[in-house]
Amino acid sequence: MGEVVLARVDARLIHGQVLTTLAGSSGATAIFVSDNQSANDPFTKNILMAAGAKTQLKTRVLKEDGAIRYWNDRQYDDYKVILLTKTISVMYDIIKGGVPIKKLNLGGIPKKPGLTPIIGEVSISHEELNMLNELADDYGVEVYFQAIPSSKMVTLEEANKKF
Amino acid sequence: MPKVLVVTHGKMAEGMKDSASLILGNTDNLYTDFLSAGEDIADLRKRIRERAEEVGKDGLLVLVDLYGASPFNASMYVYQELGDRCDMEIITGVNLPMVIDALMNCEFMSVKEMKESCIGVAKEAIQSALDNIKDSDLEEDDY
Repeated sequence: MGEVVLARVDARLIHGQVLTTLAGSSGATAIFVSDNQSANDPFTKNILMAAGAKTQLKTRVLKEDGAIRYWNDRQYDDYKVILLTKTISVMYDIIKGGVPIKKLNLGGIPKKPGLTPIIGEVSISHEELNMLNELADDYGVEVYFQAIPSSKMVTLEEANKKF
Repeated sequence: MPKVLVVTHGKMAEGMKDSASLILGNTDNLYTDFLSAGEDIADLRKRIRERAEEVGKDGLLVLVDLYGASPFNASMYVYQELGDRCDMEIITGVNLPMVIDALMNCEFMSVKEMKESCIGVAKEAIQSALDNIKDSDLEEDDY
């Protein structure tokens, strides 16, 4: 039976920070990207696979519901997984779909008008805040905002105060 | 703990520090210096020497841009001048993967080990991007 050792929402999916500072530090044996757009576009998928291959970790690009089905069918085999999604709402659906996640790292969501910045690298909407609160309250997920392990960490409690 | 010094023609060294901080956050162990247009190489050499003397036995890994050029020459002279007063290594052809690797290793390695690791990583980082994406393996299941 596998497990998710780190779940991260990052609009960039696999990129320099993930490859350099996260891939080696979490004891992971695999990187799973869950994103319909990437899974359905062979070129994007190939780029992600090639980047992941450089980490020596098993890399998979899953559909959004595929991340749930794969868990329910085979519990991610024996992989210790870094699970990446572009958005909070996709991660929310994955957790509600039954994938056990203890820690959720919000690592990269770009600023847009109408979003509230929590840390420099992460801005969220009120609706997304509600999803995160639900994950923390009903699913026991520890939610935190942090771009890379050495940078400042902001808790969900602190994020709530910004709204 | 060893320190890292990047020395380049113009401000590439500062730019690399900026880039490395985006990936790693903390770049406290990274120093930069550069040769500006028309500057006397003796001045650069003096600054590198001061840095190397300050670091001394903790070790200094110097990463320069071009083999045989002024940052290289200045560093080589400093190496010769200081002898065993500074544990120093010099690598040419600095690239960002090399800088990142050096910074990730300086808490754990000696300057010599950092040098070996940096050279391996920097060479490995140079890849034909398109060749690498041509034959990624297809999964047999439908997830």
